[in-house]
Amino acid sequence: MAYSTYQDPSEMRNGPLTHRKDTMTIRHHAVRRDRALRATRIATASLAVLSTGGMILSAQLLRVADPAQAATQPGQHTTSTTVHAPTALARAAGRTAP
Amino acid sequence: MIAAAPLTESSSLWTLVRVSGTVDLVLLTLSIGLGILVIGEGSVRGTPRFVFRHLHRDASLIALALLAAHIIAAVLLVHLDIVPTVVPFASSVRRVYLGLGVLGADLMAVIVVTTAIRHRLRLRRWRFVHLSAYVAWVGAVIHGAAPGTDRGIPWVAAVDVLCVAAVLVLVMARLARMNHHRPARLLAAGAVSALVLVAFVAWVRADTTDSIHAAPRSAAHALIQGETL
Repeated sequence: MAYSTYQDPSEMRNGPLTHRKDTMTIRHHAVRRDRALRATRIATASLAVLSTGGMILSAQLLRVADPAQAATQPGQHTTSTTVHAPTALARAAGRTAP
Repeated sequence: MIAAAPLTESSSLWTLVRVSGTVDLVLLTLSIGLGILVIGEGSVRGTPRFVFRHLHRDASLIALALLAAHIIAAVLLVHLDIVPTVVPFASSVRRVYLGLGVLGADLMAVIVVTTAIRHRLRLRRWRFVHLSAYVAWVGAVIHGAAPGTDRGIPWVAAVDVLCVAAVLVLVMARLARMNHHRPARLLAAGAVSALVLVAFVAWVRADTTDSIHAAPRSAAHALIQGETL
């Protein structure tokens, strides 16, 4: 026979298991699957923790970022532009402020 | 104290909008990458493929939660109406860039719903809808790296560029697996990917240099001329 029973997936077997190698293979599959599932759960939990950590770190980094480079909050303008800019900018352009 | 409270609240909301958007882009990129790895049969370098399928699903769900936080914070911050929040390109402010973000969010919602009822759909139909994740991701990238956002901050720009580069590399790896017997097609795809990456970097950098050098000059000019900003 050309069939190789050892290489078939364990779920597809119908008859009783007689060979020791078959039993070992099935146990090996189950252990491997459980181990992989456990690793997946750990990876998901790590991902959630990393995302939370990333958000906290990003918030800190955005807080210390240069305001000229950062996005302006909708509906807010910087005080320096509206109050101090005309004199300073006119001086910088080589003119006398009005 | 009474006047300061709304300011602090809006500042917190603004931080939440920016932070959730930035982290969400990374998670979406991770989800896309895992989605590319999920395609196919058999194990991936000794790891069962269902591991990647689970991680793809979990990363997408975390990204979706962050997307919800991003949208809710933005709506509360600028008192956005329901129509521009849900319908793409319906906003009067930042129509294109905001519209792309809304489009991406809508597509994500459609993908989640169709995946939840996957057993009721034909595989080809579900796959077609699922492929729109790439469109959603592109919308998210342009929305996040648009002018006026935090892309002037070097590390934010680097995150944007790295996300684009990662997806392009993974797509190229996938194409290489599919078209290994068609080198010309593969070469063309590689050239297009490189061009897209260079164009994206140039786009991000152009605005950064504009905001540092050109904007103060134009502001000074406007103020000296007595114009209102």
